[in-house]
Amino acid sequence: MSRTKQKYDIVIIGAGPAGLAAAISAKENGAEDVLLIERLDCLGGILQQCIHPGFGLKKFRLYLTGPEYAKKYIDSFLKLKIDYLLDTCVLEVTPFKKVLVTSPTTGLKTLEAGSIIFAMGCRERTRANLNIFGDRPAGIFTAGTAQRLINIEGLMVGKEIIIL
Amino acid sequence: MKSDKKYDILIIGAGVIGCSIARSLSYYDLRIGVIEKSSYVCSGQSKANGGIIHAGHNSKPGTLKARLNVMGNRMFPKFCSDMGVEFKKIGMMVVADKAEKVPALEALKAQGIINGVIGLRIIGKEELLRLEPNIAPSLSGALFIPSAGMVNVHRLVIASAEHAAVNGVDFIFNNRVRKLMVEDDKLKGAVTDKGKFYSKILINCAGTESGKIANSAGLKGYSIIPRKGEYYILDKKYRGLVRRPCFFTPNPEGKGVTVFPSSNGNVLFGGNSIKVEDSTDFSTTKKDFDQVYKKAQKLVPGIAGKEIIGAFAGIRSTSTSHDFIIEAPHKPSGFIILNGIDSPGLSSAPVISEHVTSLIKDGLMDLRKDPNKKHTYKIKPLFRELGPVEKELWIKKDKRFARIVCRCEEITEGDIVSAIHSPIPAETIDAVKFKTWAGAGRCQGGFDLERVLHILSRECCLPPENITKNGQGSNVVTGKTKVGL
Repeated sequence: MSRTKQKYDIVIIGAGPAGLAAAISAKENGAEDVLLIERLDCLGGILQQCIHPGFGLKKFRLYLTGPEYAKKYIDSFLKLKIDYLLDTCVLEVTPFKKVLVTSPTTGLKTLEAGSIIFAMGCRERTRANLNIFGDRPAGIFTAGTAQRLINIEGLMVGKEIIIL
Repeated sequence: MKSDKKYDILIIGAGVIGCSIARSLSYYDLRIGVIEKSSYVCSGQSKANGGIIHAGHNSKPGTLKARLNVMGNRMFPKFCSDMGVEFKKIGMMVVADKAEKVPALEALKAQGIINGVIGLRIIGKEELLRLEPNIAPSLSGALFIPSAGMVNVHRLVIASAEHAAVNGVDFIFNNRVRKLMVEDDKLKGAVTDKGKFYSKILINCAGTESGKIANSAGLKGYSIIPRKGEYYILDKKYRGLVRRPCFFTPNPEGKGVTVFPSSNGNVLFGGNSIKVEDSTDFSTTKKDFDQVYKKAQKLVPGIAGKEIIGAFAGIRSTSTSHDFIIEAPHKPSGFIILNGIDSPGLSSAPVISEHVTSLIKDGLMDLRKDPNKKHTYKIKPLFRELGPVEKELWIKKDKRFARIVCRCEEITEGDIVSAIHSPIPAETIDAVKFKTWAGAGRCQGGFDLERVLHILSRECCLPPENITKNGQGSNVVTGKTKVGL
């Protein structure tokens, strides 16, 4: 990770497949100063927890897992020496394209951007959002949370499982 | 671990009432214990409280509810600021759905005046729409109650408990009282899951179980009518949909469905009142939702059912007389019972705790102030509540305040670590949630659950599979994925 500047032509929020592709494309098309911001402590976003194969059939004509597919983008990204911040959360984006970030390495910091690309993916809908009534015991997860616990953290969410 | 413990005063229940009494008594030279069946404070009836501080217009004149609510309401701003908890005096609206209901508003206003509520005013449709622009334009008018307010009930109960704990009060969690011990018409203590606890005075603040516990001391006539209420939380994009709690004119079952802005910036609706048999039934149901939703939409048509992020239910512990019962029976002596402290229990909490202190002084025990006890204690603010200069300072001292764990609510790792190591340690996922609000936002923990689990495991020196949502049996994960490899 490189030291960050105060001002960037393009700031991209989110280092998942969309953010990585946007950063690579921006750099390859002539943008000088590009910064990629990621709140997790690694690049690749949701792909890192999708350990099942099936990615990259169209793009690379390969049958890749999520992390393998992400690695292809991460390698091209790193080769281009684009600045990036990990473990960093964007708190606010102002109409004047100032980006307020926070991380243990930078503290609270305001960056200026020529353009901002939002590539933050999405939130999963909650059970209340889907009108699932009843009690609220432990052990009910969204697919993404369960996937992260099992595939990244190596923690089992249960022995008898129902998927709705 | 079973051992006999001796206290001067034993309090059963760590809800808003138990904790505020513990705090009030913690200034005296006493050994005090609080026994709570759950794994954290504010886990029973108080947990599902919406945080509305009522003015006192709604109770029948002459009742304990009327008197204590009006007094409690006046004490609330200082009660909160003393503990560093925010109190917003945002007022309240009781709205008449049809012109025929306007006389009911007049009656309610008259009742409020008798009770001592100030500033009550009947307003017409035009002013109502100016004050609450999103309320249904077909509604006829309202009773405006300016002295009502809003508090974060969890922060308040936690702050009271922390203050008590700092003053040496013991909190014994995950411990259920099985029965009370009486000898020669005198209360001796309680038999609990963690052994016998002896005390000179026992204060029963057990909410929905207060009747059962009183009966176990041989007292008859105390019981509870459990009434369930459901609440639905709207996404924060609906912030400002209503500016203050809005109710319809009350019905015989209670104040009815309300739409209100919570202290955390969400708009909630709910608060129906269904008599239930089982006081541990906290389920939400489609049938009740449909009714609540229909009524809430009649009040505020902009409410969208698709934008609900969370739902919960709570049980009110109504007494058979529908009034608060706070008394020290002659037989057995050494016993104070608080029974039927449902709404407006939270609003009355500051005065109830003083009332109980006087009951003790008036014939149960001489109380002597201890000069070593702290009279002021403020709960540590959340990082997000600080100004920019303070934020920089906190990060300089501890870098973990710069790491956001809960994105929806902007809660930092520093906040969570502080909660875990506070005077009342938040050692479960729910305790962390209610102390910090991590996991209470739009994604309802979808993103942060795994991180909170990890932090709890690290800080409590426990494997992740031993971390629970809210106490025994509610483990979040079962173990490692790869075992025996």
